[in-house]
Amino acid sequence: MLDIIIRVNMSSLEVTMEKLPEGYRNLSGRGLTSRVVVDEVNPGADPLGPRNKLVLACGLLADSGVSSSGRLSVGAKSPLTGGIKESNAGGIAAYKMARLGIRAIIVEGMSQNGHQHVLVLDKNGGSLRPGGDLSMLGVYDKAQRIYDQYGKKVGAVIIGPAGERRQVTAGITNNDPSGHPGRYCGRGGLGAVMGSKGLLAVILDDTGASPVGPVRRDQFLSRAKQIARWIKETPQTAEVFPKYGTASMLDTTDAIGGLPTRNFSTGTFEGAEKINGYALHNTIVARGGQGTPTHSCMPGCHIKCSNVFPGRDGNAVVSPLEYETIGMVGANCGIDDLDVIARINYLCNDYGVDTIEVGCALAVAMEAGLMPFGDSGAALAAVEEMAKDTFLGKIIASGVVTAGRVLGVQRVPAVKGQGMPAYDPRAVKGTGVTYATSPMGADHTAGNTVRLNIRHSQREGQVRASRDAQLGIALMDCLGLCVMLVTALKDRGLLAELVSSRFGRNVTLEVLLDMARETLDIERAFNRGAGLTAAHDRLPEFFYHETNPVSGTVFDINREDLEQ
Amino acid sequence: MIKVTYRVNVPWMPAQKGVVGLVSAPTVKELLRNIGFEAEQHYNVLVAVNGTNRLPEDFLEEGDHVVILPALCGG
Ligand code: SF4
Repeated sequence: MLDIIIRVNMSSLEVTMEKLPEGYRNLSGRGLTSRVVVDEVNPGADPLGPRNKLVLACGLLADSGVSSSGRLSVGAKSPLTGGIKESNAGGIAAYKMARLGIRAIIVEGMSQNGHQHVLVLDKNGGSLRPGGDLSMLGVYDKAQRIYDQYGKKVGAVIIGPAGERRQVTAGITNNDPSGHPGRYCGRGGLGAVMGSKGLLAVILDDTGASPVGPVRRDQFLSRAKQIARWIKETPQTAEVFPKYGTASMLDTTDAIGGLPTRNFSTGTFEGAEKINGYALHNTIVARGGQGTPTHSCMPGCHIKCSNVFPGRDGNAVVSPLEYETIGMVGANCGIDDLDVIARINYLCNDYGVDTIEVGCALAVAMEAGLMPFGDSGAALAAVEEMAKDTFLGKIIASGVVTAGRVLGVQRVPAVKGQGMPAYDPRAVKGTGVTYATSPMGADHTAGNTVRLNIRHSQREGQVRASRDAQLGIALMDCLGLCVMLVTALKDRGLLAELVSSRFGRNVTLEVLLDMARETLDIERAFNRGAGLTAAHDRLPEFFYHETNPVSGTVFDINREDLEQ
Repeated sequence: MIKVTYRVNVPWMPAQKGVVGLVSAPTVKELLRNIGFEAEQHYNVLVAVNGTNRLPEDFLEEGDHVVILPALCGG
């Protein structure tokens, strides 16, 4: 079960099927992508060269009926951070992989003479086909062409023009059950790695596949039902996320000074009520049509935190519209208009770039005086420049660090080259520690501490909180589980029981935690080999001396503490 | 006795706001108890006071403005 590795050599255009090595048998998700990158990629390799490898993996519980278990992990050496990267997303691709028995897809080499291809995987195996007809199409057009040719039910992993142009903010998206190609593995420029290989899409057709059920069926089903019960009993997963989505976070960060506003110059936004979870929900419900505030990004999710945001005419603009985009394109740019944020989100999705990087870069451009904070029209125009490949468009699509350098801005919110998400590290210091120390660069998904019962603006306890959060999230990532499940998960031992009963062997929670720990360790070792040292585990200097006016704090976790 | 203003912004609770006087112990826990939060619900909320979060055992001061929000994991 789930024991196939597909190896795709883009230089020779060969697709081969391998048996999962015995040493990898408990690995999946981030645990597997990072293991393969560490085992097979020289840390000194050019991220956009033939020696880098792109790895796609599903989780051990994908296509099992367990809620929220079908995340797609993508890993490689990142052209943005220069270190190892894993980015994961919902969608149906991982589910389709699992139905085909595929644990991982390894893409290596680089196609010759600029030829572009699509990889088609079905129950008979895989093949590379010419992909030139998709070349430089936006993601939505690419998806439509794929549906026209292969049917609406296929899983489709796609890059946009940004990936084809090898721009370092390019992400890799896949489609949801409704066909929206908006579930982005957005961070770290992994779309540029896929583009550099000459691979435009991976199509997963599970027609006729015969997935194998759990070995200890009754035990497995009872544990899966327990998870569903916990989701129903937990108010956050039963009532908040299905109605208000991840945007429900906005009131919380706004209240504790954690909402980056106008390029991290303050932590609360006067326009918050126009873009928070309530505003999002009310707008979607009032407009009706194709919009819905409750939507599942993958089959079988009981939480359904996703949404479809409609325009005034009721037609879908983008799906999903999430907190990070609203925070970084909205508050951080001084924009309080959900329609503008949704349109920018759509444009970013279509061009194939990370909305966090774009939000950071736009705000830096605003700080540089290219446009005023809050100027929606100018922000939209700047984002449109990306697809036109103008000089300004190239700057925005190159991410916040490049934007800061070109535009002469000193206050650049990034760690290891990667733009900061929507948690101000002076107000949510544990997450700041994660930004600084995670092998993933500034990435809230690597260990967000905002849920923990600690005083977020104080210095004490943050290193430990971050360490625990990084391990806890690594565990979820290594199993392909959605982080939104965490609040409902009353006993993590259940995860081990699910794995054990699905595969018919005994895997303890300790084994799973060891796997998560080892994943973090090998990622750090890879980064050291790539030249990232403790000196890179720092936030930008302004966070250490510029006070967040809401929380009244600076980031004061010193280097010795960070090195613990 | 100290008086604090508060606002409940927790989707699964009725929205409410007002002023409450804390007599026995001016802590966050006491405030939550006064406005109808059972002890087992404390874990599910985040309490913000004048721009930073506080824990149940933290003391409040006269005139503090308290907002009670859902405790959410940030995905
Ligand atoms: S909780 Fe949200 S992000 Fe997670 S699997 Fe469900 S719909 Fe997708």
